[in-house]
Amino acid sequence: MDIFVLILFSIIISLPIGIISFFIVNKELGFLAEGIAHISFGGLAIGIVLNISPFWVGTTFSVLSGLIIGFLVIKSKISENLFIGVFLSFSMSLGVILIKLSNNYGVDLFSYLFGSMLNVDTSKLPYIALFSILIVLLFLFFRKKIIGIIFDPVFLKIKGIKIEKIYYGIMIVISFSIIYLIKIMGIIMISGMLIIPGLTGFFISKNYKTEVLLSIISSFLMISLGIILSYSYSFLPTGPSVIIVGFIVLILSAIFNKIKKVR
Amino acid sequence: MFLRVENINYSYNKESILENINFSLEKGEVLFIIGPNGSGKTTLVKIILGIIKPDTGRVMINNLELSKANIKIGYLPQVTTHESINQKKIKLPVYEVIEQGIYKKLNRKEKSGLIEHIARRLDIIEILYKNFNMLSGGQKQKVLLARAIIDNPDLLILDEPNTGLDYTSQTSTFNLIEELKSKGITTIIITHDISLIPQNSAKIACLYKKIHIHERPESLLECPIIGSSIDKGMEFILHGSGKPHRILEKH
Repeated sequence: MDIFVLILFSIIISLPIGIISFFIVNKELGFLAEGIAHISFGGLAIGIVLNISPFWVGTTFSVLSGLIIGFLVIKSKISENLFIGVFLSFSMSLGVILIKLSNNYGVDLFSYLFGSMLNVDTSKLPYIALFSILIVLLFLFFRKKIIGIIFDPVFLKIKGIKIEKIYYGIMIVISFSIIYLIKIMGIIMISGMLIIPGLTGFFISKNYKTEVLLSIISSFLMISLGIILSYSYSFLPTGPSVIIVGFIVLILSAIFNKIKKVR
Repeated sequence: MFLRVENINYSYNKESILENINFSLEKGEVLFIIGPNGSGKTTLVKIILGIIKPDTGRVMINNLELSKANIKIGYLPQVTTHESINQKKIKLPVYEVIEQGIYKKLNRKEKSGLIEHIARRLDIIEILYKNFNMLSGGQKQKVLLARAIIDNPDLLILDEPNTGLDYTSQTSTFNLIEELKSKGITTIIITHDISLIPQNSAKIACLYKKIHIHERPESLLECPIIGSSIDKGMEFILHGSGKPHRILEKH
């Protein structure tokens, strides 16, 4: 695969990842990202075993779980993390048992768990580009409401804004992004992918606007450099390479933040 | 009648929090609700705002349910407890927090004029572009008060507006309440600070599960909650000036 196509892919995918990561970090939903990624594994396994498109079965599973968790976040007085923990292990168990029963164990599992850049489908790049532009436009259009949901959802509700609809919309976007990224990044690496850029932006920004921009930039840096590393040294799996680059970027931003404070 | 609270009952984990709450307010009336911690004050406010559904009863505004009433609501939450707003780390400038309180469509210039006006009024103009999460508790309280009143709401609810404020700011809150009253804004103020209540305030309610409405401050002395405070050695003195005051020497 052409390295320039991979760089182009990194640019396109960094836009939604950076924005979603900003939301996840500020709304403190790190465990939710982890949860949806693991939950979708059950859906992927059903797809593999039944020989129906794992992507679409996984997407349905992932979006439904995102909506259910979103519903619990809004309605429940019990911490959503408890529900996520239960759903997560149930779905992973279901996935492993189904794949084991189908005697397919190990076939595709490694790439689902740790990802591979070979799974970047260049024919789908125009659709991903459209998805990315749509996310950017939605963010710009609903910016004030999204910020309101992070800061004080109760006040928005009092103003008569249907925050549930916006919240469910965000859950669907997060779920879609996760399921798309699973085959490239791997289930285990997804949550880092969705937390590190936002956290980097948080460390070095003065306000939330630059935070979003820096989240997108750090997302681009970690994806592109991680992919180039994995491309150059074929023994390096894509997901872990991206996360290690991201981790270094995060540490550097934390040091930069510390130096800035001392000065 | 502008606001009618009818037969509200609410319990949590089988424990009764509010029992048979009934009261009404005309447009422009100010109601002070006082009561000890855990008396159900904030719960009642959340029911009026539609955040919590009561077990029985309803809240009507202009004879319509809140969701259909199409009114502007200003709400000052308790900054220390409200949905952990105090712990929010998002780097949101004060300007944008106050902006959340604007209902009407305005262009950028009109909006900034309105925000700067209210910021001057509450003496927070110098922190207008600082991040909310960097402010002290008292400053946060003022910013949220600005958000609540910026668009001249039809119904204003202030939950412990004096929390974290210094004496000067408390006096200015007191004056502000008088000003809002003169503007005809229907206001509900929750407080345990009795000094905030002006002498000529129309209505005062004592709440402890049940509600007792008092038309004159003097009749407050009949309120069982106040009575229990007196039993604990507190003395109530009625002043004529209508201004809040502090007694500096024992007398």
